[in-house]
Amino acid sequence: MRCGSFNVCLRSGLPQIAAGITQLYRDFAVLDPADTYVDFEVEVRAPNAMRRHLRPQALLLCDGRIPFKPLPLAQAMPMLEWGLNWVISSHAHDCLVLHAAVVERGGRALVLAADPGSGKSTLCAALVHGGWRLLSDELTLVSLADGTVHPIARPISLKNASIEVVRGLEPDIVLSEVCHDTAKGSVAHMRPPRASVLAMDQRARPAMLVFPRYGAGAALDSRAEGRAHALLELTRHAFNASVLAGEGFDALCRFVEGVHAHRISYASFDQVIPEIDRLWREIE
Amino acid sequence: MVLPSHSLRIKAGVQWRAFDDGLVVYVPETCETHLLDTAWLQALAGFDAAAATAASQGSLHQAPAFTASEWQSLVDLKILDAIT
Repeated sequence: MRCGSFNVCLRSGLPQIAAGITQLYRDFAVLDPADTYVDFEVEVRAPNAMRRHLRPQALLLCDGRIPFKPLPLAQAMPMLEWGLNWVISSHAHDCLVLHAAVVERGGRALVLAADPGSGKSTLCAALVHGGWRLLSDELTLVSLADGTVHPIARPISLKNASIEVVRGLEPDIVLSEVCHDTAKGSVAHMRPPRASVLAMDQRARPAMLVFPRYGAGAALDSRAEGRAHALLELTRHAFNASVLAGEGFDALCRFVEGVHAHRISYASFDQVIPEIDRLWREIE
Repeated sequence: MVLPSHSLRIKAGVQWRAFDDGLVVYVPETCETHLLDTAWLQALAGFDAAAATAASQGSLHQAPAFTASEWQSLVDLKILDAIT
């Protein structure tokens, strides 16, 4: 399967994985394994024969390694998604890998960096629903060579209350079955828009960085963020900063020098999306 | 012990970038990034300039005045170390 700039070889005999791939990765290009360089080999299977019958579990292998403990079989598809995040963020060291969502409009990228639970993926889904191109809801891959963002428009991960919020955006949005009682609570994944999948070879230049924070009942609070403070916070969201060391610091510096940074607190899409549109128009 | 500024130097590999709202310093020894007041820019730049000229001219570095505890804080962060 072609997944952004990576070729992933996926193996599984589990019907949950087959159903999940069919539903969420419908528009992804399937490559001929005999004629393709494979970047990552990922397998999801039962740990052993007994576990197929007694409290069945799923086990993830990435390039032959087992990065996580087995999980209940019902969590097989979320586990695959987490495994793909792990394998990409652990190996894509030709990029600065940020824990951030990223969307594109007019060839320029809007990066949403936030701690888990801040509403980053939910806002990303709403922006994509509003016409922005999805580059990623989880991993912003910034090329060390030229500073552009590599798209990797995989399914958008939603948690808990955000699942129904996104489902309410439009009846046609395709969500996976909700998987309850995971380490992250209830999770579901949204199928990426076909247009975003088909445009996965089109990189984007970072133009704006937003630190979003959702808070129930919060008033809209939008303010420009200084580059030094943005850089310091972004460092916390860089998965491979310690691997890249000084080269990563340079990349982070170039990134913040090339974007307008803002911090936005909000309670609803009606507040935050017009504000993002307003800020975006100012830099166009 | 707190050392006078002229007996300190920037540790190898330390990088910094100055912005309007602060000076961001990367310390490879700890893999940490720190935000300092921009007032430190002159001091750090002075260390660099001194390092560049000292070998050929024997010039001494004159950094802006900071308190002893402020110098010590940069030593503690492993941005600076003592010339021994």
